[in-house]
Amino acid sequence: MSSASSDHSLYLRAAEDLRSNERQWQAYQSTGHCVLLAGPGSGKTKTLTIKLARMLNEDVDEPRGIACITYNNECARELENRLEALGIAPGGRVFIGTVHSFSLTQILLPYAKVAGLGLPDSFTVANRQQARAALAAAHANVIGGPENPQNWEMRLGRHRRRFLNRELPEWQTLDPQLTAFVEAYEAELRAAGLIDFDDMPLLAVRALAENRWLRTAMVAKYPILAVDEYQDLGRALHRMVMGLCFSAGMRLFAVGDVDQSIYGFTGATPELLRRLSERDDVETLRLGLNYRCGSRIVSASEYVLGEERGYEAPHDAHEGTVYFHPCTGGYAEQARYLIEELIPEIRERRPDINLGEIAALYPAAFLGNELANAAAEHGYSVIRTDGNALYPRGSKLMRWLEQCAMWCCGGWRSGAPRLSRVVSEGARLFHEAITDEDERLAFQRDLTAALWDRRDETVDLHDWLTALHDDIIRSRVSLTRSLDDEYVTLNNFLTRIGPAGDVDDFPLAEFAGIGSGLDRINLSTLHSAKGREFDVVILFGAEEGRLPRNYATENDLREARRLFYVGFTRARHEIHLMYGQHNPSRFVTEVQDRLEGE
Amino acid sequence: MYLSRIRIENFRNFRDLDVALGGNIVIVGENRVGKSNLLFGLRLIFDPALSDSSRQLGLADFWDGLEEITAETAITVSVEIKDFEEDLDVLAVLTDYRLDDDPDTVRLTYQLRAQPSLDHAPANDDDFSFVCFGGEDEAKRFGHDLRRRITLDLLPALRDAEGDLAAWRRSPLRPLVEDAFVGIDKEALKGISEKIAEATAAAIDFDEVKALEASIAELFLAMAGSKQDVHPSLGFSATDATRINRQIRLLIDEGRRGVADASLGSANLIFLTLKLLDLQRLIAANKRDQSLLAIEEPEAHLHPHLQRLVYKHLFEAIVDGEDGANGDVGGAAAVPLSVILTTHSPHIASVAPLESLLLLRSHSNEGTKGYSVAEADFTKADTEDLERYLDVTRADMVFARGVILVEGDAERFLIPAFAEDMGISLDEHGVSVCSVAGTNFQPYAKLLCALGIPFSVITDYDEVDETPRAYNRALKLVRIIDEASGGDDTDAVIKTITKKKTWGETFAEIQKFGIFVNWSTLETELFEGDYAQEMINTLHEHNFSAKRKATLNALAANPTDFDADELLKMIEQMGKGRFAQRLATRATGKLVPKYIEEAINHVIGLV
Repeated sequence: MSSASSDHSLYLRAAEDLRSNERQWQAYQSTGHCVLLAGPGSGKTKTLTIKLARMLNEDVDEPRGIACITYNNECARELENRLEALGIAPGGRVFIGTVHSFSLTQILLPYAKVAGLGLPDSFTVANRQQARAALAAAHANVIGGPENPQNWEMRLGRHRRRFLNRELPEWQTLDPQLTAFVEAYEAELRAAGLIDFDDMPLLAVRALAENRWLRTAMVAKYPILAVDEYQDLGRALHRMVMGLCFSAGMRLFAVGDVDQSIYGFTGATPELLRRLSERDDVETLRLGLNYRCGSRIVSASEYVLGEERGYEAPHDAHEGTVYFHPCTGGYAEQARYLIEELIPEIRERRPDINLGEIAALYPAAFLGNELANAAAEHGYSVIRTDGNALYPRGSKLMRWLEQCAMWCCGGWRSGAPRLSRVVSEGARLFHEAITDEDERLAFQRDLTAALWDRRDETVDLHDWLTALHDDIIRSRVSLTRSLDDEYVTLNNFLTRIGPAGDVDDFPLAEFAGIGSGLDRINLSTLHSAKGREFDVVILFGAEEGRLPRNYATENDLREARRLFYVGFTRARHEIHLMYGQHNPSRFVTEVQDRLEGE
Repeated sequence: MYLSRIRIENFRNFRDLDVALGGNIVIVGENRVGKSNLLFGLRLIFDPALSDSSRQLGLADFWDGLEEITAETAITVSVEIKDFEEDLDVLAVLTDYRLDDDPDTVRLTYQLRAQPSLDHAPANDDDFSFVCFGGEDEAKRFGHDLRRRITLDLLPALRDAEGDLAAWRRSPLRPLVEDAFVGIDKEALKGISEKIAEATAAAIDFDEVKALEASIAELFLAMAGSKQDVHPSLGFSATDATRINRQIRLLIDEGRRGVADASLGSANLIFLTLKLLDLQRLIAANKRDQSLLAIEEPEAHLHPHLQRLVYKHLFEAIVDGEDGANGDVGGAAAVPLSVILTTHSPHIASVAPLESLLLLRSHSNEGTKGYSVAEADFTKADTEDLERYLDVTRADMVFARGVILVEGDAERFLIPAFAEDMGISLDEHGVSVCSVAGTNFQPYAKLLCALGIPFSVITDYDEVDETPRAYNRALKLVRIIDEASGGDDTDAVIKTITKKKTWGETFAEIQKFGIFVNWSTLETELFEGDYAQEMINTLHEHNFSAKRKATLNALAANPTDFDADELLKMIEQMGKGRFAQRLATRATGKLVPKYIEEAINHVIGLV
């Protein structure tokens, strides 16, 4: 009882912070369906977590709970951490995860059979290799010919996501060949006892649509559905929200920003959020204050967008600066300019800045290579979050290993991260292998021993990882099918940092540092920078042909503009736009013209 | 929600029990048939107070009849639950555990089996481990989370209601009082404690009391020494404000007596009252969503009338809500409570909802089997019929091993005497003779078929217009009996009977179903048989009018020439029951009518 009341005080105290912002406070007070339109830096995550804590304490009683759907695992982790700080432990009555994990763990795994989805017994999720094999087999049957079946992957995915309801005649008539291909591909998967990533939300939508009792059951378990980054979550989720919240009786608390919708290629469109926000039965609130960016950056960002949103910085905000850097030469030369000129200038201007507060953002991963090379030449450490990174930032296994490394590099002394958290996240990761209390205890014992023996920041990362791999991971990963792809990632990484690999001299402390993100320049694609913020942002390659790409349709143009806007609004103090002097992006030109015309 | 089915395999008395349930469960059956073990099976699934080490069963818990226990042998207890969607809290707890092919049914399973890593046949208790899982997928484990919300409480047979009421820690009053005190102002309590201290001081202030207190303290000090001194003093109660609630006692007889002075029966009733209040409180405070209250031998120490009154109220008002329905306006809302009783009391069986009856009977090679009314799929009309008919005397039959259904009191009194004459004690065989007071045997036959209790029916020929009424009566019963025994072509069975040419052949065929018919009525049959003199002697005991006396004397003079109607009128005037009772004392050594002998032997052969 006493612990519950102290939890209470934690979020009540935090809520006081919202009081001065009228819209945040209104969102905090909302009792029905609520859509929060939240621009960059508007404090949406803070509002969302405090509201979640309140609803858990005041609106939803045991044994019922709240489902919170977020864009990716990193967002989920961020929300979990913030909720934990408000006294709400992960697990239990709160589900936090992606649309895919919600579909898989809350609908498909418990109900696939009884919902009549016709999936194979004890199906698993296809790893990349298996999905590729199914695609090749289906291609050979339906299309044939020498081309690479992978070329079809995007079209196939779009077609599947387009038809949430395959009873529609258009499913058969619109593109019969593609439909036949999809059906053959899915049949190949099923014959192998598999579903793939796209299947998860599609099957979940079908299960919900066909089974009234399932909708009731979901409302029983989760009377409230919270959705973060609504604009990027796509049509399957939108359909679930329509069914669960506007017919079955779940209450919706959705957060998003139509201007930051940048995942059109996955089927997301800003229209869905806009339509949702215009419903009569929804209380729609727009957070107007941008606490992140300097006031100049806030007003310039509206020029970028080409829309009047009425965003403002708080009265006491710093000003912020927009810099234009027309460059000469190719990308390699521009990259050198960034490292040799720009970074030192910035450090001179802001002597206390941590390199982790600087990010170079670019529209395509290959540009990151140029930057990484230039940085390496000059001895700068970087963290890369794009397709060419040493390992993808989204890898749960690698993120967990970073946590383990942080514990070994002094975390055991400082309690950051706490061992219990490292153990419980590991147990969640290997949940298929750790099914009862005994196995959990064994895992805790093994992990604690393995980490304790290797708490030395100077140890070579390859040795450290190999030991952990042998002692902890190998035996368990063989029972954890969901980690197949991540295991490949880990082994590739091990090869690259190994004796025959291309990466030399990687001490453990550096790996741990990636987890903490200290003192390294961030290199990221614009897409991967979603949701993050930095003191200084350098938009690298802001050129025609890159952003927007050549031959862009109207729709592509709109999305490119939003992508530019997302990059622009990551900056607190300085935003630098870099481009070849004769080829600036039209968005750069627009901003420049508007700023000069002020 | 309600429990709709239970299945127990290889556990103690049960090789393979599989029986439908109807929500509340009233378990009847002979001693040592496994009633408590069935409750224990439910506790394995639902009781949060059962520790994991108790949940860890061992070799001794396997069914005795097993020839060997291999790595594949498992103890399994599973229950199915229906109607779990009404309460969203319950739904949230149970929804993941639906059956693969039936979303409206949830299953929870406890299973004990050999450790998966074991490479030899299990040889000791440590070779086993248990799992609790829902639905049909072992990966869907459940545990304390579920038991905390859907909870079984057991009031065991050897409960010490008085002792529990007296000890604060164990008292069912404690949580209620503590809860009531939560909202009370601490300052107000302080005021009271000061007054108590004051009153105590005043009482102690008498010299006589002070002297006593001093002598106690002195002697204690002398005996224990100063290091062990507990400083004894006299007073009414501790006066600490935070402990005042512990001084609250339940009083009876308008505050004149403590509950320790209550009779055993009252103490049990008080205990039950407090327990039910506590269950209501837990649910109201959202500490749990559904209670399963198991009471062993609820009849303990209770007068029969109270048994009926208390449990009728429990079933009708508390479980179903005051108005029978879900507590509409006016009536108290139904508490989400299922009652599970094990009983030997016909009084309790007579007030239990019919579909709750679960009869356990042991079969030598197959362990204990279960028979329930819920299994029988009675229509609403059937159920209402039976609940009306099942008074205490008739409820007796659900406790019998075999039943002889008869039309009236005459048979009820005479048949045990006849049986004795045949050298058979019906009580020893556990056979009850049950009068249906008329000829409507059908509902009883249905009930007995459902409960798997063997029975025979004795009924009169009753000729009207050359056709015996017994004929149609019997055909209906044959249909019930054949259908209940799983006969797949009852029409053919009936046809075999209707095709017979003579009544003799017809009733001979009908007898195969345990229905025994005479050629007139019992009394005339007896008179024409060996009993004329005894019947005349019995009638002589009654004070008839002069005219009847004359008829009786004429009959006595020439028993072979008798008017059946006149005889029956005299017996009816005396009272059929009374007549039969008296006649029974004279029946010894006489020839037992053949159809009755056969009816008795039929049942005895089956029990």
